[in-house]
Amino acid sequence: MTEKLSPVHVTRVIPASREEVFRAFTDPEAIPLWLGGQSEGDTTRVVELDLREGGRYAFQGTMKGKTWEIHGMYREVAIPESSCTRGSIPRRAGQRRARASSRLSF
Amino acid sequence: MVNSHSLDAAFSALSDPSRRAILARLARSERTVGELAEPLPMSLPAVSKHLRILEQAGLVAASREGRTRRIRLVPAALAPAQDWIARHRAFWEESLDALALYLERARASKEPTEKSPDPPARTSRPARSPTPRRPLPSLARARAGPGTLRRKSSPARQPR
Repeated sequence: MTEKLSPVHVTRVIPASREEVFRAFTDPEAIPLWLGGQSEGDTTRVVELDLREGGRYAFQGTMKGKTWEIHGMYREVAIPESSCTRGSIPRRAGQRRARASSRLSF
Repeated sequence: MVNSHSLDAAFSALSDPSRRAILARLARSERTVGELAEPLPMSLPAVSKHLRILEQAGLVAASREGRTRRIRLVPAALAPAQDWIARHRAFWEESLDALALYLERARASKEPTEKSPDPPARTSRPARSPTPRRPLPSLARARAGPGTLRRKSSPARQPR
C-alpha cells in the first residue's frame, strides 16, 4: 500500500500523568470505571487482560442498551517510566491502546 | 447490525489509493471505464480489476450501453462504513469523557488535604504527592517477563 488510511482521531487532554492514564487503560479494576461510558445502565466487564507482548485482552459491556466487545492482542507494552522524562514528548499509553483496538476492529 | 462482510469489503475496497481516486472521480459524474483509466498510471485490465473490487463491495455499479460500460457511484453503499466509524467514534468519545472524570475523581480522593483555593496551575508541574500510590503488582510482574501475568477477572460489574 502506498498510502496509509487516515485513522479516526478522538482526542482528549486529561490533566493526569502518563502513569495514571496508563494504569486506567491496563488495570482490570480501573477499566470498568470508564471504558464504555458511565451512563445509567452502562456496564463493562474485563473478560481477559494479559498485559504483555502477545497477550490477549477482551472487554465487553453495554452502552446505552447496545452490547459491545473489544478484544485483541497487545502488540507492544511500554510501561511509562515513573521518573521524569527529559526533553522528549512521550507517547501516551492511552493513545496507543485506542489505536490498537480500532485497528483490530477492521 | 451491519453485515461484517460488507464492511470488510467496503473498507478493503477503500484501502487502495487508486480505488479512492476512482471513487472521487465518480462522485462528480459517472464515467466509462476508458475515461476512468485515462489519468491513472496503469493498464486498462488493472483498472478493470480495481473496478471489479469496487463493484463487489457494492460501492460502484456498471451499466452497459452498447459496447461501453458506464460506471457510477453507489453512495448508499458507503453508509455502513460511515455508521461504523460514527459508532466507534461515539464509543470512544463517551469512554474518554468517563476516563477524564474517573481520573479527576481519583486525583481528588488521593489529595484530600492539599486544598488550594485555585485549581492547580499546570504551568509548573507540582511535585508528585508523597502519598504512597497503590502498588501495581500486575505491572511489576509484567515487567518481570512474559507469561508472568495472566488475569481472567470475574465480572467487575454485574450486567443487568
